[in-house]
Amino acid sequence: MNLMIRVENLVKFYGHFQALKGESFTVNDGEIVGFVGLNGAGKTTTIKIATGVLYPTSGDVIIDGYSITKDKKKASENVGWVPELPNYEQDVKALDYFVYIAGYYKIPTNEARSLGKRLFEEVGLAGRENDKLKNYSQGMKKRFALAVSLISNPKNFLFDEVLNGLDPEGIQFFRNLALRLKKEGKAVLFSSHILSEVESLADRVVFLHKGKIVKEEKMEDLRKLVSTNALRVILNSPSEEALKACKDFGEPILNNGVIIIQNFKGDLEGVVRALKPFGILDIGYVRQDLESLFFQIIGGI
Amino acid sequence: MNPIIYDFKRSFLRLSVLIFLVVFAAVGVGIGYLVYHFSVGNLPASSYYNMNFVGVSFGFPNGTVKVHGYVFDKRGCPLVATIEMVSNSGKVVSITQSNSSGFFTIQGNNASYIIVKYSTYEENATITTIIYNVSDFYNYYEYNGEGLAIITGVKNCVGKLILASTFNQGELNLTFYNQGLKAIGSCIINYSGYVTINSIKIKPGTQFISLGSNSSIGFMTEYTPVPHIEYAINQGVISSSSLFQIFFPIIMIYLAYALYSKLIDSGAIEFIISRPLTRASFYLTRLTSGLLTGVTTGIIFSLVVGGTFSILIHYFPSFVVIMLIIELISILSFYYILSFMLSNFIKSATATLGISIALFFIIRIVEGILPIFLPTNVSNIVGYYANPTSICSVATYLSTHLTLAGAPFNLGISIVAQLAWLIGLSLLGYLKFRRMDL
Repeated sequence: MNLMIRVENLVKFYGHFQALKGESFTVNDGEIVGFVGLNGAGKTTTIKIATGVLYPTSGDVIIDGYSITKDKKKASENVGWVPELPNYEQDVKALDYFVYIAGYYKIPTNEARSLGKRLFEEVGLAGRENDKLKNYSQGMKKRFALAVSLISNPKNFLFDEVLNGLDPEGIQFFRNLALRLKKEGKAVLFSSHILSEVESLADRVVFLHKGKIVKEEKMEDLRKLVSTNALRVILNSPSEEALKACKDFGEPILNNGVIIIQNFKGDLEGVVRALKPFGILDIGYVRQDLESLFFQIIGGI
Repeated sequence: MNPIIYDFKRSFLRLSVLIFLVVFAAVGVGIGYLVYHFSVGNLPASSYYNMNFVGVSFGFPNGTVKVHGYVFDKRGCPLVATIEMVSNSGKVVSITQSNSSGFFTIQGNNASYIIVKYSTYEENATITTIIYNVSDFYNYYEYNGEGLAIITGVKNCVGKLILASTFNQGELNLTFYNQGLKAIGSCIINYSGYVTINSIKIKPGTQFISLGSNSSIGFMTEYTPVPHIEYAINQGVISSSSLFQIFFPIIMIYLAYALYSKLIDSGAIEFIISRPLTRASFYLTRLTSGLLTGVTTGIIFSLVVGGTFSILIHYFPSFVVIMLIIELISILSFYYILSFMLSNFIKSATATLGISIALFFIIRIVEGILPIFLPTNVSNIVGYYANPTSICSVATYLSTHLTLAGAPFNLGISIVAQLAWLIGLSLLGYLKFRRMDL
């Protein structure tokens, strides 16, 4: 597996304030890495350094082998960025601005126009090409940023709090997009201040707190961390008989039609076999709240 | 699309730029037209003709008149024209054509004037000893009753001396004088023929020329290295452009605000900078596109003003227009770069805009009042070297003095000073921008 995005010992000072304290992590190809931290943890600063917008005080970000500080043109060509609050020059038409930006990728005008139309359609902006950017909603601005990011068909993507402020359709769009990009073997860094937001997407999560990485864990391991020794079963027809069948596996209680088996022993398959006649709708370990885990990790509570 | 071209298109086609360009150009045309009527407009139409003629006449006792002459354009080159000799009653008594070298000889009885026709031009002259009709495109012109000397078509100090003399051979002594009336050179022309054409090299810095013979020194007459009419037009052009020069720099400051300051202030620069480009190339792109807008605007305005005179007098005052272009480029570039540079040091775009405009007025006021308080030599140093628009001052000097010989400054130093301001401020802004947290 290649290391597509490599953050190397990043340090960033704003005046006397140290925003990043030497963070290092990688995002491999075909992987979505959740980048989680409270507001002000340094996620956006890290991403802005990775896009070449900010200079690190020390350290570097390597994109596909190119240093963002030493070989910015090449590195930028290989990364797409959708910011949390995209900000553009206001008085320009979207497609014209796309063509202008494409100029920095050395794409001729005609080619850029047809590419723009295709990408606008792909990101759901078809028919809005000639609208001025100032008339775009927040979601449309993010889609526009995505369309621009796709100009060079990069292998790496940086999504900074991309789900913030989106309607359900927009959220679904970006979730599906991240999964599609992963499937295509691309590296995706997906930042959020809400752990549950990245749960269904991320293969790995990097926790950032006060400019420092406090934990880096695979998602499956995180899930184990939040799991308890209690099993939750939802049946089609919960009954005393079903409760009785559960007693072989622990201490079951029936609460509002849901059976919770405390001190669960045995295996999941055995429970499924025993309860099959009662119609199993859902079964799984009772989990600790992800956000509580997050605060435990960063030491907030 | 090349980002420079895109930014240039976007800045030049900006409504504010176009509106102000049209308004100022219209005002310039109006003022130019007004000035034309007060100065050049008073001259007869033949003053703008691209046809001239000179001749020497001889009368014979039997009433026959013979004229040797030369027909030429504003550069002194020969023209093939039709010459008619006409009696007092209006009857054409003789007709001929000038040859391919422009010369003609015509004779007839009881003729009182000649008519010369070329293209759409037609001009007449009463037959006297020296006959002439010369438009105002000459560089030098002297008539003393016995002869006529015209220098025209001067380019790189070389022009044509057209002599018409009642003597068919002789020696002419030309002495060149500078602004301080000091003789700076001379030359002797030996001529044979009533009308002769000679190539002449004028000493650089010449402001006056005297014509004389071996035994006498003639009067000093003004010499202009550009056609005389252009000198007359110059005052009109200065008036035409004054409003533009005063107010258009503010548009350039606004342009720096719209193209650059606002971009930094709003954060919109981040999205562009994240593309495959370096900060240096972005900085240069925006700087160049704004400067191109200034240069294009200056050129268009100057051409419109020049075009106005071109329509009025059928002559495009290229020297005056070039001087105007240099002046405008110097001023517009400086104030654009000044505002551009300040944007890197002042976070607020509106504050940058306000400070830039304030600086513009302060600099213009200081420029205006300093010469009143400073001794001339100090004022010259300030005006031509320390001044951030020193090349504008040089062009203004040149358009009124027409020569740099004897100028109270060194052109090279002025150019270096101007470039130092423009490059220095650009560089200063870039040094701040390259490490700036956006």
